[in-house]
Amino acid sequence: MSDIITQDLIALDVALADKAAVIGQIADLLQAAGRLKDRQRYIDDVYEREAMVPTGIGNQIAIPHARSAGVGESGLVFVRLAAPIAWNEDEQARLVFGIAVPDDNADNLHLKILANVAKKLLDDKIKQLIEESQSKQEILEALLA
Amino acid sequence: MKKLVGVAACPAGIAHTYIAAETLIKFAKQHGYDLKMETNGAGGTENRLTEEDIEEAEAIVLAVDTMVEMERFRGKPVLTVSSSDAIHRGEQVIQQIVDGKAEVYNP
Repeated sequence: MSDIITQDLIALDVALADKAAVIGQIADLLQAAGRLKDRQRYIDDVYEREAMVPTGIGNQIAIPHARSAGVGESGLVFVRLAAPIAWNEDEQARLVFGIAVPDDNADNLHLKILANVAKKLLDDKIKQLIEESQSKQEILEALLA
Repeated sequence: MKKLVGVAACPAGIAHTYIAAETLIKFAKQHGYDLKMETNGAGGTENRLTEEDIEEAEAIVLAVDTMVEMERFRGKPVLTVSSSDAIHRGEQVIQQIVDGKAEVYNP
C-alpha cells in the first residue's frame, strides 16, 4: 500500500483561476500518481459532494473529497494556491486538500490517517507551517506526524 | 471537570465528521468542559459513548448530517446542528450549550 500522501501529491503556490481548475488539478495529480481508475468519475463525485455541503472549513482551507468508484487507491492531495479563490458563496480558499477514497471502503487504515490529518488542520502551528513552508518534505511530515 | 458528550457524522464520513468533532472539543475546553465526541465515519464508529458517559454529561451536542441512534439520549438536553455549522460556528454552538439552550430530548 502506498503512503496516502507523497511529494508528488503536493503542489505549492500554483496559480489557478477558480474552483473547477483546482479540482481538475487535484484529479490530475491523483491520476499521475496512479490513484484513479476513472478521472471523470472522481471529479463528478467530488462535485456531487460539494453540492450537498460545500467543503470550505474556514481559514481559507477547503477539503473537496469523495468516496468514488473512480478511485483505485486512496490519496490525499495538497494544493497551495498562489492567491485565494472563491470556494463557496461566502468563503475563500487558498489551502486545498483533495481527498480520494475508493467506494468499496476496504481501506480502513487510510481512513484513520485522513481523520488525523483533518484534525491537524485545526492546529494553528501546523496551519502556519503548511501556509509558509517551501519544503514539500516538511509539509508531508507535519501532516503525517 | 464538567462533562459534555456528542456525536459527529457527515455524508461521506471521511473529513467533516472529524473536523466538526475536533472543533467542538476545542471550544468546549475553552469553556472548561470535557467533551467526548463519538465519530460515526466511513471507517465505522469510533470513541463510542457509553451509558456512563451519557449519564454523566450535562448535555449532548450532535454535529450530524445523517441519522444517529437517538434513544440513548432520552431525557437529556440535546442540541443538534449540522457538521458544517459545528465547523464554522463551533464557538457559538458551545456557547448555546453553556447557556442552557439545549432542549430535553423526550419524543
